[in-house]
Amino acid sequence: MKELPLKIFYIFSSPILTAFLLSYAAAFIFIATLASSQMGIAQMQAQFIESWAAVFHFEAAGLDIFIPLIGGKTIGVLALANIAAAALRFTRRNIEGFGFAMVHAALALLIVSGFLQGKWRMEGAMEIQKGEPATAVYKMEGGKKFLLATLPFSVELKNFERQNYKNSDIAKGYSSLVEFRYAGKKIEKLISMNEPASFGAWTFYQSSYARGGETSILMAVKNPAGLLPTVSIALILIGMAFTYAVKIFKKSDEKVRNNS
Amino acid sequence: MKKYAIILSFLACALIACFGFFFGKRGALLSPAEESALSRLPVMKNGRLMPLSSASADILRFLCGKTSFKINGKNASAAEWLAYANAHEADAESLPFFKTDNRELQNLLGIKGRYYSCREIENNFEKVWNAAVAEERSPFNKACRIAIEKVAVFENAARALALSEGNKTPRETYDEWQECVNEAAREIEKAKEQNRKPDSQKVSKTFGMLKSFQEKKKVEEGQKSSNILAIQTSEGWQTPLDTVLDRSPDEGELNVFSLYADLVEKISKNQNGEISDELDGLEKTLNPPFKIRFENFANRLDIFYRGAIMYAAAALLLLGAAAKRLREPLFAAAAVFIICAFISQTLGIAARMYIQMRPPVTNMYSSVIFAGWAAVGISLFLMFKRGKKIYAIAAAPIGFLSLVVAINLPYSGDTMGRMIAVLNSNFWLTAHIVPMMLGYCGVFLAGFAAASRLFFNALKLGKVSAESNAEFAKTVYAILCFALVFSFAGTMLGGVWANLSWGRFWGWDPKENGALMVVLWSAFAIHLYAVKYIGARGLMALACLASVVAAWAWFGVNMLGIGLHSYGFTSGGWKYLVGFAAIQTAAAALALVPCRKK
Repeated sequence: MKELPLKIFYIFSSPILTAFLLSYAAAFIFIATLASSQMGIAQMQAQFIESWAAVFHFEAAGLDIFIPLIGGKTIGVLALANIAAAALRFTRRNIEGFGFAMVHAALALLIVSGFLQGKWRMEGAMEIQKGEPATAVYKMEGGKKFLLATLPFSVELKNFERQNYKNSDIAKGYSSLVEFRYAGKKIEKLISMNEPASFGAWTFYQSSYARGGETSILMAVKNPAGLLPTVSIALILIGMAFTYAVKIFKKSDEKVRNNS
Repeated sequence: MKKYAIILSFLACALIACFGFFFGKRGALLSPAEESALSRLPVMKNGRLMPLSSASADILRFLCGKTSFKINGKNASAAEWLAYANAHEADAESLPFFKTDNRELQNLLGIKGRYYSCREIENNFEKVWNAAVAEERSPFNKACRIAIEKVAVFENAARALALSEGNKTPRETYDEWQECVNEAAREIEKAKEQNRKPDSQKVSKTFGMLKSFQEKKKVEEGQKSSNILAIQTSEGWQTPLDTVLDRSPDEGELNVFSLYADLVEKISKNQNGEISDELDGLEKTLNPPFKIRFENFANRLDIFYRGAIMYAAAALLLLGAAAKRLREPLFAAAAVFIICAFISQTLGIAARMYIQMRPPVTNMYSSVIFAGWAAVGISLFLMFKRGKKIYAIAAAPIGFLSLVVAINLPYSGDTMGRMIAVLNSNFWLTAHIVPMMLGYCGVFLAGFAAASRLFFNALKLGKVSAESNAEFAKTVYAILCFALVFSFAGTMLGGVWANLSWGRFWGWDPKENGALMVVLWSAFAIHLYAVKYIGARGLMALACLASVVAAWAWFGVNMLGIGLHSYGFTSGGWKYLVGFAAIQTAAAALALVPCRKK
């Protein structure tokens, strides 16, 4: 019985599992993409990506065909276990191993941050107007509006502007000047395309407008783990650069040694 | 022998670069000097100042997918075509320069082939219109909608230089309108004084003309982004119709207006040889800046087209190199062709960047050119560094395909136009797309190289030594590693960009999924090879399949037509995609042919 944990460790760290997960994930995402063209991206995400198991349904030659699949969550958990176990088993304890370990640890962090996004992230729409402080964030589902959250502060539109390219009707950008009010304090901020503004735990993005600019539509996002993916990617890229740099230096070292 | 081959191929490249530049596709209407003078006049289109040659080529490309057209059996440049459409609108209407690939629409119009004329649409207008406004969204309905749009774009183009009503010349039209307006104004004034109703006979003609102008204005308003604004005023740019409707046009505006009017009138009266005064006047008044002249020159040179010819020549030479006795000189010649083509491509990309003042990749069209350029660059580097000729074999078709695809992308509209607001961020655009393209082209390079290697392996029926295969697989592995790093970086930097600007790192959009598939599949191949679960042939097979995944990610997902990234929507490409997948899969299957044992 002593060997059982070791056996489990070998199973989880096996390169076969890595190969299976990578190729299966590629195929799974392909199927999920096809599914999203049938049911839309939001639906696909709920049924395939954010689930433990999924069923892909399609018709061919008059037959209903159902394909059972392992869902995105399962893949994520297995990948996490695989990366952790394999890193423990295969990392060489030298300078080359350092880059390898860094890339894989950050990859694990990326997967974890994916899970955290699913858990903590909130995204909804806000319609703000002049002279009417708003606090409600809505979520649209199936053409209906649902109240997602009520902000602890209020947002009011001060001014909306739309700039076009000269002599054309292509939008160069929109911007909203908004006022945040919290506990008697007033703060004005400008929100434009690609330049969001944050207040409290929420960040507001210019999304659209209605009634010729009388109403500005913002996207409101609350995401405590928002920076985590960026951090993990920075670590992965640094790790990759490190790994290749070490390789190149080693090669040129060999050349020098061979020459002398 | 090798020396002569190199010198000869340099001469051939020089010839390709210059041929047709001095006597190219123009001359149906104007002499070369007049055509050049007309082509470089500055106009405003879709918010960008450009030479008339670019603006008219954009419109012609939208209408028929080409940038030159045969009028009365003679080649006309895009600017000549525009002048012809303005001067001889009725004749132009019966020329078949509208194109559709839709069979149903072809049958409805009763045409053979893909080209039809404006008149053929007018004869069947009701049927086409009904199909266009129907709620159904079949390809046929879409084709009808586009046909209607094309008619509107053509009508606007046909009065972009000068406005004429019926059989009247532009000048007569303008004078008559002014007279009518003055007369109507006098009549209304008089009626006011005498406290009576204005005589309807005296004002009815004015109202008739006004109504006709307003209808034309409506057509213009409907196609804002494809209108050519040729008349410069003190405030900006406008069409001749705007000037006609202008209550108090300024002097410069009227000057440009009447110069264009005279120009068109002379062409319509077939006095083509006598328009140099008007062209001189226009050039002096509008004074095209250097950038406009440069763009016109680049249009004339059409350097991507010349590059494509050189790549094709190189590919042919390489095919010839299969004969062992000619191998050395032909390889040398092909290398010269590839280098010259690569230089042309580089110059072309640089010219685009200068004209647009943007990073090299801004849309589907430029992404293909850029990725091909990068792939050829890497191949050339590897070829000279490692002395392996196989990279030349991969470089020629990649370079050629990238340019041919780019030249023929259907109606995608390389307008160098402004991009939508969301993409208006040069830094992130570059940071996201350039690594992305480098990654994809690396995958393609690995795929093509592996496929050609497996193919030659199979031809020699297993007589290739396992060592040389292993050596080759190492290179494929290195390219795949390169591709993995760049496609991962590109994909993830896209996520960072999205997180910064839309608050959402990843949206499971089809294009994002495709990019992720490329990353996963490359990682799959690399991991299997690194832990020695597969050997040289296995890696090459997986590399072939990786290029199929990349083709799906790049082109396939756009055919689904959903999501954020559907900017490069192309339809009807399915068969090419399936064909490509079939070829690469077949090449992968060739990995089953064994090598020679030691």
